Amino acid sequence: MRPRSLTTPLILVMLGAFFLWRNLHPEAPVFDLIANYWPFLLIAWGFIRLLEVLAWRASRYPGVTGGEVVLVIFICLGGMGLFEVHRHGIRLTPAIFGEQFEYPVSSQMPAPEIKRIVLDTPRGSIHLTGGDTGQISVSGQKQIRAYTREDADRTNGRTQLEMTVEGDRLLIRSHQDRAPAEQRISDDLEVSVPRDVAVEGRAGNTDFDISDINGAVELRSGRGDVHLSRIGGNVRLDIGRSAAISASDIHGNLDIAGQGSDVQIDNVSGQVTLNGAYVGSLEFHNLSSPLRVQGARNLELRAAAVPGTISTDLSDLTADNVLGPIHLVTRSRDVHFENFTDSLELETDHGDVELEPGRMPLPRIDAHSTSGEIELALPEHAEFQLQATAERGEAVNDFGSPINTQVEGRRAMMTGAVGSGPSIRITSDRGAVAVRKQGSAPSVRVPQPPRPPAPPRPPAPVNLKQSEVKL
Amino acid sequence: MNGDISLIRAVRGPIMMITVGALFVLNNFTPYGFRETWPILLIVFGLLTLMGRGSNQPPGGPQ
Repeated sequence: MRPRSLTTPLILVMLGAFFLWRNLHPEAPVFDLIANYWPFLLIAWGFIRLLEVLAWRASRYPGVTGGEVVLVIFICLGGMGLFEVHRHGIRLTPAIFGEQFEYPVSSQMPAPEIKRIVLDTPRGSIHLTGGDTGQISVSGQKQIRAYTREDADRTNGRTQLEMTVEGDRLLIRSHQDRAPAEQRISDDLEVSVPRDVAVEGRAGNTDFDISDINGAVELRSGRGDVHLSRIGGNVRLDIGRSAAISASDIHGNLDIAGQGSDVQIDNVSGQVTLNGAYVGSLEFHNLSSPLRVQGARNLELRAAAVPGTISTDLSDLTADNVLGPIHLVTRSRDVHFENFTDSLELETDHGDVELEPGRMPLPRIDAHSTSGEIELALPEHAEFQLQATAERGEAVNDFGSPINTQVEGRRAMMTGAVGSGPSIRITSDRGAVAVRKQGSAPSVRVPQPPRPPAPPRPPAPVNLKQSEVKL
Repeated sequence: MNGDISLIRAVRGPIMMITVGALFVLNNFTPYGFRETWPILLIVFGLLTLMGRGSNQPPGGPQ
């Protein structure tokens, strides 16, 4: 009889021992140990098999099986993955097994000379409000997830909130880095400060809600949401990943960088710059100075000011009442622009474009779509010089004889001048172009170009297969 | 002789496994990463195959 390998039962024993250890000592960094020491499993396994081969030499031992090779490959891949994760500082010992303990946090001090508040809270949430007060006060709650209350108490003792004055700066530190790796600690703080300070925040995973501050606000965080309102100075946000960022009533410049989902910006007096990939909805409303959006989901947008609204998501961009010059480059969105001035340069790959300048004199327009219709709705008495091209599509003209329509094969062009207005150039590589009068029924909505009637088909030779299919 | 061949073939798997484990120990605990040391696997496999061939072909010629 062929001897059977000992490795399977041994692996079962090891697995059992591992989970037993894990259950009896949940605080032990078992996963972190495995991330480092897993190769010894392979070595031990190899030695067992070697001993088996030598011991059962006479029995024509079969060697390593295909299943074992596959298992070894999986162990190597999994082990390498664990090691890389561990090497990059991510602790694998989950803290979710412990219990949550809460401790009150409270501290205050007079702050007559303080000009700048620096918040250093790696994890948690901060709700900071400025007011007519001469004091800085911090209150809130600290959560520590640990396995025993003694552990949590010890950590709480080591991570007392500290307020340090350095010149005209006040440093508020929660010292979360002093907590052991297997515990999770976070602070939810309510901070009240004099209105005239500047605020700086450094965080890893923290939500910020800051309002009524006359100074500048500068926040840097790996992950978290930010809500700002009534800020007097410049605002700079560098948030690695956010679900929601909102800013309203900002008097200075607003500069946002990072990645995330939704961004909502209202009533900003200074320049607004948004730099990064945001996959949710972006809303801009009442911006008195230039707006600049760069690289967010293949979106590039510049405008001189936005007294109205611009809102966009992954599939649509709608703008109403925007001051030009406007520059918009987008990959695949339907674009609808209403009431804009000065000039519009628009470039889109996939998506229909509807433009209604609304006001006189008309802005200069240069719009190009690789694949999609472009429809231009102009006031009835508008004056302009038109050059519209549909490389493979139809051209629709509502302005009659001043505009000359030419069709060459699949290409349709409209050229001409109505009065002496600005130049309007619209080009669609694959799609129709239309110039209609504003207020006219959207019946002028471009119909799909009619297809030429199909040529009569020659009678198909009858064969058995076709007749079978028809049956 | 056949016993030797099957022995060398049989130990090839375990020895490869030990080598892989040793290389990952080097990867995890020394500056020598698996990215640099992987050719050792080829060398060990080649040597084992060579040993198998060597015992397969006695000095008198192929069997």
